Amino acid sequence: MAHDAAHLGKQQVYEQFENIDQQNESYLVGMWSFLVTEVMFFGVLLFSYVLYRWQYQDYFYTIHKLLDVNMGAVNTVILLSSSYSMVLAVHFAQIKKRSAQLSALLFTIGCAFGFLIIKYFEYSHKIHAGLVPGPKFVWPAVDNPELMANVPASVAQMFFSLYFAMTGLHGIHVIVGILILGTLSFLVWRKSSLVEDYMITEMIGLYWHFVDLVWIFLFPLFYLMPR
Amino acid sequence: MSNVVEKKNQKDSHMEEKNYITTDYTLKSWFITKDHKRIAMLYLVTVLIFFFVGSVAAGFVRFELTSPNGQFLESETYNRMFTAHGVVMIFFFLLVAIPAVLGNFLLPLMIGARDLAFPKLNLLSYYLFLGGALFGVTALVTGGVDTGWTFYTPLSSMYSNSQVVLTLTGAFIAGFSSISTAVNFIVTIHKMRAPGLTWFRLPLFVWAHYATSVIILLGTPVVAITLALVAVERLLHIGVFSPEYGGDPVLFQHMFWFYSHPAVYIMILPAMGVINEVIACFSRNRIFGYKFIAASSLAIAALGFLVWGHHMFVSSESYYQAAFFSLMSFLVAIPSAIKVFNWSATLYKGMIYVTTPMAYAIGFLGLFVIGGLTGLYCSCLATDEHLTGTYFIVAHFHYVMVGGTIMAFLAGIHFWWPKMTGRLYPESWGKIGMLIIFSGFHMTFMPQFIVGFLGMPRRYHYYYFAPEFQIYHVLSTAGAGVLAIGFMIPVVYLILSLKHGAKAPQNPWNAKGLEWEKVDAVPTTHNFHEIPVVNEPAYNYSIDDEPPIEAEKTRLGVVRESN
Amino acid sequence: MANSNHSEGHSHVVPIPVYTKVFIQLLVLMVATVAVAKLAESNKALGDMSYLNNFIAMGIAFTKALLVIMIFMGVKFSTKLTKFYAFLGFVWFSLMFLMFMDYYFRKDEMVTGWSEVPASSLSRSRVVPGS
Repeated sequence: MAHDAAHLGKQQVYEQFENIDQQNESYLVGMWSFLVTEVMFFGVLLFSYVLYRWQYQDYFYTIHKLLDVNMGAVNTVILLSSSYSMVLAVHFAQIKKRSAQLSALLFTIGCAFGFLIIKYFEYSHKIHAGLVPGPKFVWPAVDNPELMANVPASVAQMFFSLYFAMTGLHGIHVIVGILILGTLSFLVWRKSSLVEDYMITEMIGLYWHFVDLVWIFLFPLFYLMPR
Repeated sequence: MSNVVEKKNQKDSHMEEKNYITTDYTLKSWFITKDHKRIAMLYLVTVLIFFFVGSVAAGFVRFELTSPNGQFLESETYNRMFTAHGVVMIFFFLLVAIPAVLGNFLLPLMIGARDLAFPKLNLLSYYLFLGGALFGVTALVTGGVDTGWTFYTPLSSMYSNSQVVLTLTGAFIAGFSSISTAVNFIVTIHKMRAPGLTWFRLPLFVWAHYATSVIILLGTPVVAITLALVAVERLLHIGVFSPEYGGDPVLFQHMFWFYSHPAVYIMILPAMGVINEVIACFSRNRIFGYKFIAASSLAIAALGFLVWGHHMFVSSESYYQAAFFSLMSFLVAIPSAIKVFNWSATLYKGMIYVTTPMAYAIGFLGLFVIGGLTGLYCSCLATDEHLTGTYFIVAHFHYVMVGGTIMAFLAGIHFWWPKMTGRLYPESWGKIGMLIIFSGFHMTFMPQFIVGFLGMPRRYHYYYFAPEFQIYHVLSTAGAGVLAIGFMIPVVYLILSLKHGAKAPQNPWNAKGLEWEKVDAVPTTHNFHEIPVVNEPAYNYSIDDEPPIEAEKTRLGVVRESN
Repeated sequence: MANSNHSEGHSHVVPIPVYTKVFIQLLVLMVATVAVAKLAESNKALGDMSYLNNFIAMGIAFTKALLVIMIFMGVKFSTKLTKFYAFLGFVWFSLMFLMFMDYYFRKDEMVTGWSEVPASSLSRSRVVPGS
């Protein structure tokens, strides 16, 4: 990663760019066009969900009672807080308050872990209850057998397929986010010259907000499902 | 890692600067390069290897079909062969050939930039491609796939007993390679243009790549997640498309074709970009209707997303829906036709030099027109009901995307070969090769139109129910042989030219464009000694321009008297 | 927010209170959406109106998303080009969504007359390949 260090300003301009504005906007547009692909990525799953929800409206409504709204709500608050601390991290990166930036980042990572821990409880509960689609699927669900008895097992499997696919993909994004944020915090802690440029933090922030954004939609779709 | 980059310090010394090839000879310097030109060369070698693999699979398929009862393959193996041909050719050759090789090499040169916006991302995209390709090859070696390149569910998700997951993983990873290339191109085209290079002064090659990148951005993730869902369905039984869970297998087809129809434009738009450059240069004429061609690229990109239903006329569409998709498919023909007419108009009153790239470009026009017009048969509901799933479709898409893309790819390779390698290729051999490829192509696929129209279904191993089809299959196989010989010719003379070819001057074709006029014979690592300022429109040719070297003999039309 | 001139529109520093305000709004919306859902769930008196929860939940989700995109992700302070790419994905996704949904709404639609077999064609025997 050698660049001639002739440029002594606060941000380093890489050699393919003419000036810092061009570089910054390139970064932003690049990150956003990557997020375009992420939107389409989740969009497919979202569409599958809406389609089957539309086809099996009543059944999906009944099944969704197996999900724990409170856990979902707590997770939403956790992710929103992490987003807030993330913008603070970007803010501190811009004004070069490194220690404040570091603590904001660490708080974000903490939130991400909190999210995953709650997710872990949710998942393990469902796995124990045999709600993972496949040959070992247990239906009617042990939690509420009499209510679930009038829902066909196939539709329940579809619901949980979608549930695991969408929250699972989101969970993978959270894990990736933890890895990136961890690397970033490490670099900030070591006062690496790589993170002198606040754009790195800004772009990681964009990614993290996107993860939050997905959850903003997943939460009402799965947990607050109405009739 | 830094050797390549630090050459920048010598930016101002014009003499004795090493070009991008001679700057470092170590293998390591190639494999960790961030130079877009070197990455393009890495891509070139890789995609050619895959082209060879895919061709071998095609050879097996063609040979097998010379007898109504098959020659020597098991039916299972036959299925795996044509799937291997389709997967390798589409995911690992056609989709990347022009954007990743020529696009990578030329975009920064054409817009006056020192490199792409994100050189490391560019290198990453190459390794993602390589990784995806390795998965694909592993799948082939360990048994292959028998679902066809379309991976229709529930065959792929439940019943197929082959390496579906590995192949899907390969395609998934390769998809991210194209996404990162597309992000790179979009940012580069938006932000890195040289001063004075406004949008309407850009070469049309750049417009075509912009449209392609937008398609990749909007389409590839859809197919990536769809293929991932199939893989998950196979592995974990979490199924979104499985009928046993009340799912809809046709949903897969929708999502698959939502990307895979625009994918055809990912293959053909960059090809059209190449054709613009070549035709304008060798007819010494400004491209006719520049703005229309530029806009038609974007129109194709947009309309291309609205026609996927024509792949599904026979899989449970409502009539209105089918009529809509049929109409939209007809509409896509308009921007394509605009391009073809404009190229023909560019030739008109031009000073035409039939060099090898030009010969390929004209060949492209021929193949593309045949492929495009037969496409109308397929987009028309009534005829498509008859033609769906026959060899007519096979012939149609080979003419459009394979014929079109390969012709343009070869045109581009020949056109920019002096810039890429600094050597000239033998012109006469080039034309012989072109003629053989062109005629071999028609010999291979013209009989398929006929046999398909007569009712030969695609993907069938046997046709003992209609032995009269044999003659067409034998003709087609013979044509494939000719095609194979044709492809070997450029490979041989291009490789030989690396050592024995004459040294190319800076601008062997006397072409316009930054990559010819402002860049050394072989570009340096940072392309430009100083960032050029552009103050003329693209394709500022006139018929009085100096001819391309060695082109005097091949000039067509009236020789203009010199005053 | 005030000095968003174009050359440094995206590099200027947003003051913390702006973020805090948005964060509080997000939390309020979050509590509201859960409350409405629980109300719709428990209160049978709402009866037929409970489908409104659909719209309220999704409306709140969209508002939250917009807040995050505009302020947290800084789209509001960015250049036109960034704005374009920021919204391209959502616009395109909506398009895909509408077209797919349209397909499924019409899937079983028949056109009167088309599905009726003309009498003349019944008399013709089908050509069986290979026979």
